[in-house]
Amino acid sequence: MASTYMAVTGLEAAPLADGGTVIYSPKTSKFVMLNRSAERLWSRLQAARTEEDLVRDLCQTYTGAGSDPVRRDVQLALESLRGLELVRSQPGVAGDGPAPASREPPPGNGEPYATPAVQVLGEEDLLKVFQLTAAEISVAGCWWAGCRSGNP
Amino acid sequence: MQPIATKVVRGVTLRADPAREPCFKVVQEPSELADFADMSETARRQRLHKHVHNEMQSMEMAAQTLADFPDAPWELRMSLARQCWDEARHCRVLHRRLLEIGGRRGEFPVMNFEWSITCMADSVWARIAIQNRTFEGGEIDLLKRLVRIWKEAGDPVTAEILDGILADEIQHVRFSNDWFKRLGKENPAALLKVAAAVHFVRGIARALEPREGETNAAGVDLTAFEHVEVLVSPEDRRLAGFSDAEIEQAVLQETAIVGTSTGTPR
Repeated sequence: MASTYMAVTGLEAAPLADGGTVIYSPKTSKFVMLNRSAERLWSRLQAARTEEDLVRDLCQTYTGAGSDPVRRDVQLALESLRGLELVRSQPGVAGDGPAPASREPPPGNGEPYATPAVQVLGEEDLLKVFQLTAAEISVAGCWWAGCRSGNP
Repeated sequence: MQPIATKVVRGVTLRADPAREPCFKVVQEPSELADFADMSETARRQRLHKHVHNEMQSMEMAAQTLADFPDAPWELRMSLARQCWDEARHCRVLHRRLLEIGGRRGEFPVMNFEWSITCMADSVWARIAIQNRTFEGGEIDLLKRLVRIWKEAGDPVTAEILDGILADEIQHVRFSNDWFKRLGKENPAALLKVAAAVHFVRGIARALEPREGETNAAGVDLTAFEHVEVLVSPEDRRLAGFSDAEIEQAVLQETAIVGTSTGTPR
């Protein structure tokens, strides 16, 4: 029976503009930034999943993702998440049921695949990530004087 | 925090407008504003009129935060109270200048953009993340440019007023950054409020983004404007307590926005 993985409870998360997210663990007092594909993994881990479930999901979600490299990426990401005490593993039954290991998942038709990235942030890094510039605010319609022909 | 009155603009729930004197016409979308595209006499009055109203909102936001979060740390409340004093002074100085150049309150429509967003936040940390670190952080970059615009337009008096305001706004951003640094050591979980607040503002900015060809009440095409050159003012941001890494990130973000805008980067 394949091991299953699931996110631990009691974590807080804040979404990023690029589709990633930042997770805070009160237990370890760590902020962890996930890129878009790692966030995808993370969202799937709200229920118990096998490694194979996760590989299949990524392959079906993104384009250009072969199952072998994705499997290696998933293993590394799970190892990182477990090391940071964000995910626990247990022997059990997967949420979606295991996929046949011999079958290549159908290709995805979404955005290009990027390796899931899990990065620990210091407090200053966190503040750096969550900034908004005048130009971005001005997109809402010439905020203050953010554009040449608009005005304050 | 007491329950608050809200309004919905383009599908986004925002805090209901603060009270305004009958002379003001309050609008809800940028397209209803009469923002001009030049520095004509009318445009100058409109620019100062908008600035007066923005300072008024700044005072109201800081005051509302004091009222909504009576249990916030005393030193933070003192900083917010001082900010109210500063913003009120800015409002009076700019209003006096508006009268000098022939303007009057209520000549142009106004929008409570910053108030409506900032005062939705349900924690004092999110409030100062939005008002001080984000809006006023952006404002210190813009004020630098506005000083130059008014000087180039032959109005050193207004330019000097804006330069004085800039010094105060740097301090408002600085005290918020000082608090976030302190928070990072004492209560790191609260920093996530900053993250959520910035995400909220970003979502609203996108919701209010002008549609292709949309014009405002002055006939200005809101999607055809030119973005200014990279605005981030590293020197002032450093004075305001941003780290070099934060400034570098802000420059990168702004460059990305200007590079992908519909307008012409300058």
